[in-house]
Order: sequence, then structure tokens, then C-alpha cells
Amino acid sequence: MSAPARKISAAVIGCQGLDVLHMMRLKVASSLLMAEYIQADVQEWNHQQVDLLVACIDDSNSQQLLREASQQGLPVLAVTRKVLSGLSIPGVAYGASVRDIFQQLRQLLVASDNSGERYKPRTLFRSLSGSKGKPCLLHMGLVKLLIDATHTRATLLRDLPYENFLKAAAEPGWTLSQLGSAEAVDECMADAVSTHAFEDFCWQAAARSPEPLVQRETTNPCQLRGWPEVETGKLPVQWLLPMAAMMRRPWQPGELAQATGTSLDDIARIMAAAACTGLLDGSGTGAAPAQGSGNKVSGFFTRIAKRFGLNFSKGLQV
Amino acid sequence: MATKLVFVGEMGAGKTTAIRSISDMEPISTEMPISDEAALDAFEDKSHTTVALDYSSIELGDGELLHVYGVPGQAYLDFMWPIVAEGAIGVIVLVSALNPRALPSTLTLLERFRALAPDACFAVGVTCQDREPDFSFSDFRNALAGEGHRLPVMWVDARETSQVDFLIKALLSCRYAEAIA
Repeated sequence: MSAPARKISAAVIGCQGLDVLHMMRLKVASSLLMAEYIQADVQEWNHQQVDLLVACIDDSNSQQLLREASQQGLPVLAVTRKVLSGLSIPGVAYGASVRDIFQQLRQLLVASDNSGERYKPRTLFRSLSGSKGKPCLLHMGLVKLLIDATHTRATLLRDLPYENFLKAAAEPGWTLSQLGSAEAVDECMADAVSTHAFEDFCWQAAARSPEPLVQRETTNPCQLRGWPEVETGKLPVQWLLPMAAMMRRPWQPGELAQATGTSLDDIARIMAAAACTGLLDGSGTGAAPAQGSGNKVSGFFTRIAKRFGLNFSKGLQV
Repeated sequence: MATKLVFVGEMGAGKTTAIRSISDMEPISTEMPISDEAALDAFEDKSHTTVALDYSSIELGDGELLHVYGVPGQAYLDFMWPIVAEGAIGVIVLVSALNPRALPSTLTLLERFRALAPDACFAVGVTCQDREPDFSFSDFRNALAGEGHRLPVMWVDARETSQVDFLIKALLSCRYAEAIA
């Protein structure tokens, strides 16, 4: 009997102030993390969300850097010519070997969490969270797209079927770069193939993904602020009833699943898609009691529903 | 008993086309050639318009019918609205993205028909997406919500049966959600 396959998780390692030698050694050391089932992506750190920061702390800016990292609760691995025992953070000596760096990375990324769940797959939507305000270039392999600063439009930058982008959206391994200038955006837009509503991109990706696009931790009941802009007919029909119910009032996931006969997995996917697109209103403080409008569902309504391929008798059966 | 499904919208919104795409029979329509030059210019691929009602029906089995009406949204024809709205299970407001008054027109129709058919469910279909790529769907939807109209709003190609069908599915889901929420 074979052991269950262990999932590969993904981590992003930010780096700053490293010279070519240390950068190269860091990249090689990071690649060795695959032995720990961690796919590590090394990026120049521009204050984006990363799991670990590797930085040279010998220059004059290092104190500021460490303060910023501390404010973000970001673990730091220092590269320094100073005496290591005098550091208040983990460090490796200037000139450290690939092996030294790897061991420190492993210790920082893995040792504190043996479950392997700490570094959740870096999907497109996890990467995007907290990036509103600047246009973002996202790529994973051949798939590349630009999300505008307000998260309204998704521009595909490769001549691949839209379907490929939607399937890839929920997969791990995305790299995000924030674009700081109009010139950088213009340069990307030169490769634009087509543009889609960001809501369409999110919700269609959510419909194809077996997992919610993002993990939500709030326990507040949630409501839909508005119906998402999705190409008509591209959402699962089973989602219509829970979405319609969420348009009326806030719901706890379990309560909504029970009332609509929808699986909790589907409810989680709907709520996550709504959260990704700013359509989730979780400001409610408590679940509103189920009231119902008093509008009885007549047999005639049931027959109309059936005529359109719907059966509400046990939730929305299609 | 609620036995009607109503499509309402201004000229060129796609009511007749939408009804035709889901009907079991060829709709009875009161279409006439457009005589207004300005309107002909505005709707360049449209030579006729509905001057009164569209009517069709959908068979539910055992001889039962869902009556489907298309009603012009122009205010001067509003004397027809109460007659049609009475007993409506659902009202779908269709609006063309080409209509420069899409928002006020939709708001007016929603408010008037909500008053006429308080038990009906509502949905909005926005047509002509391919001809007006600059139409801001989210602004339109958010503005409707801001006025208290929290309801399904969708792009719809009235020529596509599957899209009109999906819009009706959303409407029916809202109707059922009312009963359970």
C-alpha cells in the first residue's frame, strides 16, 4: 500500500541587498527545499507579501529594513560580516555556502511547522491579496496576465485560450510583480491579447477550482453586495440559489448550505469568489433569523422551475 | 395565481428577441416599421419596433401555460403596465448598454413595476454588450444596489436561448430564495 502523496506547498522568499554570489547561492539553496516539499520562489523584495526575507544587513539601510520586516511580522535571515552570535535574528556569515543557507532556510520555513500546511500554495488570488492600489503583473510558466490597480480588469498577455488562464488561476506557483510606473504598464499592454472583467475571471476560476480561491477566516455571516459580472451561463446552475439567498440577507456558511441544499464546499467556493471580488459583505454581527417572505412556493412555481430544468425540492437540483 | 413572466424595457432592449428565443410558439407581436428617423439612426440594425405588446406562452405540461409578455418601457405606454403586471411571478427588465439613459430608465421601470407587482421577483438583463464595450457594468449594478435594488444583473444576448434561459433560472432562484431567506 502506498503512502498518501504529500502535497507540494509554495513559499516566496524575498531578498534584498545580496550580491550576485549570495543571490546565486540563495537560489540554489531554495531549489533544494523541494526535498522538503516546498517550492520556493526567490523574488527581489519590494515590500510585497513574502514568507521569508533574506537580506544583507551590513549597509546603512539595514536597520530600516529590519524595522519594516518586524512591523510585517516577517521572519528575516541575515547575511552579514558581523559576528553571528551578536545578532538578534537568525543569520549566516558573509560567504556562507549553499549548504549553510539551505539549512537556515529549512529551519526557518519548515522546522516551526511540521504539518506542511503553513506555506499554503501561492495561488494567483493569494498573491493578489493586499496588492490593491497598483497594477500587478502575474505569471506562472507561459500564463501571464495583468490585473489593474482597482482589480476591475484582467488583461491576458499570452495568446492562450481563456480557459487555460482560468484553470491555472487556482494552481500554485504564481509570481507577482507590482508595476510602479505607467511605462511599465504600457510595456505589458503591448502584449495584450484580450481583456476580461476581473469578476468574470475570478468567478469562472472559482467555478473550475475544487478548492476555494482563498481561505476565509471570518466567522461573521456574509451577504452578497451585488451579482457578479460573469459571462451569462458560465456559473454552475447549482450556485444560483445560494447566491440568490445571499443577495437577500447575511448567512453563516452552514446555515446557507442547509437552507439551500448546497454542499459546504460549494458555499465556501462562492464566498471565497465573492471575497476576492469585493462582493462579500461580512459586516454583519450575527446571523439574521430565517424569516421567509411568506410567499409560498406553489405547485405552479415548481412546474415552471421544472420547465426550466430546476428542482428546488431538495435545494437546487439540476 | 402568478402565471405570467414579464419582459419590460425601452425600444431596442431586446424584449421581442428574448421572448422569441425561449418560447414554444412564435410570439404574437405588434411590430411596426420604425418611422422616426432619429430612432432609425440610433438602432441601425432595427427596422421594426413593438408598438404594443408581445405575447407568447411556454407549456408546462398537462395544458398549463406560463404566459410571457413583452411590454414597451416608454412612459406613454404605461397604461398597459398594470394590466400586464397583475399576477406576474417575475419581471425581467431589459436594458441596452447603448442606451445613454440606461440607469435612470432601469430605475424607473424597477420602481414602477415593483409597485405594480409587489409579489414578483425581479432581474435585470443588459444587452448589446458587444456594441458598447465601455459600458461599466459594475457601476450600473452598484448604482442599482445603491437605490435598494439588490437583484441579479447580467449581461444577456437576447438572441441566445441559453443566456435568456439562465437569466430566468436566476430569477426563479431569487423567487425561491425569498421563501427560504
